[in-house]
Amino acid sequence: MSSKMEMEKNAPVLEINNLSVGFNGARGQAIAVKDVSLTVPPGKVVGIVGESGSGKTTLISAALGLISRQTAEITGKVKFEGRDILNMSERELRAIRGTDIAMIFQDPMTALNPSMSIGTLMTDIQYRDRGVSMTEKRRKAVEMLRHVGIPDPESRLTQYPHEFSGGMRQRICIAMALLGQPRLLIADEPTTALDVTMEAQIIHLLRKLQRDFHTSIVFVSHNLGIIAEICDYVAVLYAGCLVEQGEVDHIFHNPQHPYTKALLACDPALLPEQVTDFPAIPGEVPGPFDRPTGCIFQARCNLAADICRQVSPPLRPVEANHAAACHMAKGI
Amino acid sequence: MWLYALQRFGMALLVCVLSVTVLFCIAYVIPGDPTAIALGPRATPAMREALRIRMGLGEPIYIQLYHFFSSLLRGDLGVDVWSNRPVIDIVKETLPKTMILAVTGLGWAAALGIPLGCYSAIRRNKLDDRIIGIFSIAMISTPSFLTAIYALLVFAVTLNWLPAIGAGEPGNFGDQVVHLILPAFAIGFAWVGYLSRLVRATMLEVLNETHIRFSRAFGLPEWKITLKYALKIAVLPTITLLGMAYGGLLSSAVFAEIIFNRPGVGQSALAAVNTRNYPVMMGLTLSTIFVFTMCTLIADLLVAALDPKIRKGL
Amino acid sequence: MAVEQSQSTRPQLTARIPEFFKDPVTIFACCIVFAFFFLGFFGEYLAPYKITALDMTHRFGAPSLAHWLGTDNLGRDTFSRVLAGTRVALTVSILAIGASVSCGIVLGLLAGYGPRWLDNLLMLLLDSIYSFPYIMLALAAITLFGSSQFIVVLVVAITTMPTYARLIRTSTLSVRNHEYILAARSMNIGHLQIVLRHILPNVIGPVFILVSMDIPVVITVEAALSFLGLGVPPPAPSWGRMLNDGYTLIRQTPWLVIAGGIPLMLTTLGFTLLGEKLRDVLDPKLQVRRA
Repeated sequence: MSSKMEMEKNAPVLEINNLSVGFNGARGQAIAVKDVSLTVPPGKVVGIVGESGSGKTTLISAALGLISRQTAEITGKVKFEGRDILNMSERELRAIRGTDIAMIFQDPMTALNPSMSIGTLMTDIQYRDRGVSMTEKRRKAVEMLRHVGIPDPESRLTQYPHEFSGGMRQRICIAMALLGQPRLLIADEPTTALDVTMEAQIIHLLRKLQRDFHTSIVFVSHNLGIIAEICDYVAVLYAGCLVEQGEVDHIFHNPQHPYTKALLACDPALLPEQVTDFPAIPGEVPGPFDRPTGCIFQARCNLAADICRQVSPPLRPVEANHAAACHMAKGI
Repeated sequence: MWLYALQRFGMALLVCVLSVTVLFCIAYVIPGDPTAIALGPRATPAMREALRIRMGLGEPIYIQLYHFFSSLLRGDLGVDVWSNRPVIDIVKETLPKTMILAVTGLGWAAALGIPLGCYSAIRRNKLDDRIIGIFSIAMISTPSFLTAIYALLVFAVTLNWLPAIGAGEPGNFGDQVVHLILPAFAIGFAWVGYLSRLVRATMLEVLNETHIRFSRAFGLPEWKITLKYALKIAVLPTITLLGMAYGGLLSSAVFAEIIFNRPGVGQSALAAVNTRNYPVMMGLTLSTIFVFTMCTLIADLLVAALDPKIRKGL
Repeated sequence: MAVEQSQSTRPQLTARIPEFFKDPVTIFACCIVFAFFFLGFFGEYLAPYKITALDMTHRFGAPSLAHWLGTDNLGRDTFSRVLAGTRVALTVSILAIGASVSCGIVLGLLAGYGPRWLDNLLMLLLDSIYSFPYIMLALAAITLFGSSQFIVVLVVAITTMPTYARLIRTSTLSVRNHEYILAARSMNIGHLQIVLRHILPNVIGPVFILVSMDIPVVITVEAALSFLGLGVPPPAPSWGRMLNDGYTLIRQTPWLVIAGGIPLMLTTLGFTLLGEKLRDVLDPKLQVRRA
């Protein structure tokens, strides 16, 4: 009994297995995500990093059943606490959203409905608690707003989104997301639209809340500095493929995939102060229609050999809790 | 909010004054004998002389304009050239009838068109949406006076279900309602299609916004998202449009009145045109300008009251 | 910048032409529009009877093999009159749209490129015109000047002009601060030159969509005024006048209102569908305000 409890405690919250997403269009199938496997352990923060257009948002949207099967071809498995998300009905999905899985979005300026007060927005999403009185719902909302650092929350309940600054709005979004006490929080570039000081505050807040509520977080970003600051594990996406994943320290101090290395080399935060030549990765990301056989990164890789042009490298462990999809990486 | 209302009110007043001035200038400053134009070719010299004195011609234009506006403020729109009835009485008698017709026509169109648009938006690109779309475009493409004639032909002449002409016996409410059905149907017909297309387009735009995705991420029921979260925003441009719709609506009402032979602005205006009864025409035109400005004003204030950004911001 | 823009949109456009003609609805619309222009030019010569040929022995004739759509109260062949009526509709719409587009473009450029106060003033004026019931304007104008084709064209041009002016103004406002305009300004190129050479070509595109959607409006207004007996004077065979003849005799000759109404409805439908399709293909974001 206890061993089973123990197992459940450590069982992953979200488990993605060989997920591929392709959009059917006039020009054939556009592959947005290819063969991605990812695990989110309970109470941990997993970062997904990649350039814009690398399939980050598609990946998490598909993983949460937000992409309709009519428009896209989805293969693979996504399990949330052991339940298969991809085969759930719309009704079952709705039951999970907000209570088990919550999301916050990139742009807080547009994420809140402009026609409703914060109080209405926050009590509306507690619609599942039928027996609970309105006063109780408002009390809960106030409490959560205080938690995310909104000063004087009682009086701000009657205010509308446009009366708040961007940072405040993102705090409100986070408060709303946490109201249902979800076990998984998906944060899709939550700080990209904010300025640097706000960004730091929000990251700090998420870190604190993650500890308080013991929520697992999937944190999507293209900013390596933030990923390094908040995440326990990192997954690096390139053109829809997972090229490297592992514990955050391993990835940052011992990157194995040439793309990760290049990415780290280009991060302005990690560069010396005075640079005359800003480093860049030569070449272009392959488009969703013309994917090469073999390694996805071959065209821009300076280590590319014949094997890279023929065989797509599998994700291989390079050390404990660290794997890379590169033929040139030294395995264990 | 109050400042905004005041601002809008001032704007409305300005539009009124501007239109009236333009009308005045066109009517009184055009070359030729103004009394001949005002009274039409059938006027006798004696009538012209009387009008010349009453209009204070010969005085400079701004004095005339001043007199015109001051009598306008007193509610004096001149008198009917032929019957000598005060024009203001004619306006008072006809305008409400036309307004009732127009409001009924728009009312049923909104009651049907807005839900249809919502439904279309939810079911976008499905078969029923396409069918509604084709019907909407067909409805928009049918000129209202044609709808009126065909409605008359089918329901009154051929099937004999509804009365063809008149507004019903005065005082007999049921009879008046029965007489209202066909004209109101004709007026609203094109608007059903137009509103459903507009609401569908704005709904689709709103449903694509991030805050709707955010609400979906909380598992809120789809009907609640559509009807409460999206419609509240999508309805704002619709209201603005309805306020502006008055122009087109009045035009169709005029035709419906003429075709169904109902007393109202349309009948009186057509009669005035045919008898060259200029003061009546002027009075009716001025009153429609006034009503129109009021409609836009009300729509603007309604939008302001519904949009928290304006309500609380200004 | 301008060159770049046209280059980026051109291949897209040509790629979309087959898609454009795949849709049966669009083909239908194109056929109607083509037929409208064709009959507008040649309808009179194709008509089986002369439009003014009176035949008092065949008054109120029901549709038959000799008279496909029957005859009217003067024994004139309805089908011939419907064909010939296209000419009136076409003439009025070309004249009116031409006038309204040119005025609209000038006012729109003035409002968009000119000083702020002029913009406000013009917008106020245009909004008043836009929402003013065209029928009252028409009636007032006819009371003053009597009815003629010129008045019909004038009224229609005035009432449809604000939409064009608004459209041009909005695009001009967004274009006027682009860098290539600023560059031209810095090279001391005159305002007129800038407006004609650099702004106009970049803002004129959507006008064509609107023209397609406005032609039916014009035809309708012409028919409506003729229906009231205030439009193009007889004996020109306007559809609206036929409707009026039919309406007064609706119990005796119902085919007259049907014959006058069907071409009106078909033309309107054809142009509206074509306009919608054009908008979908060329400029999906364009929201045309129209009443």
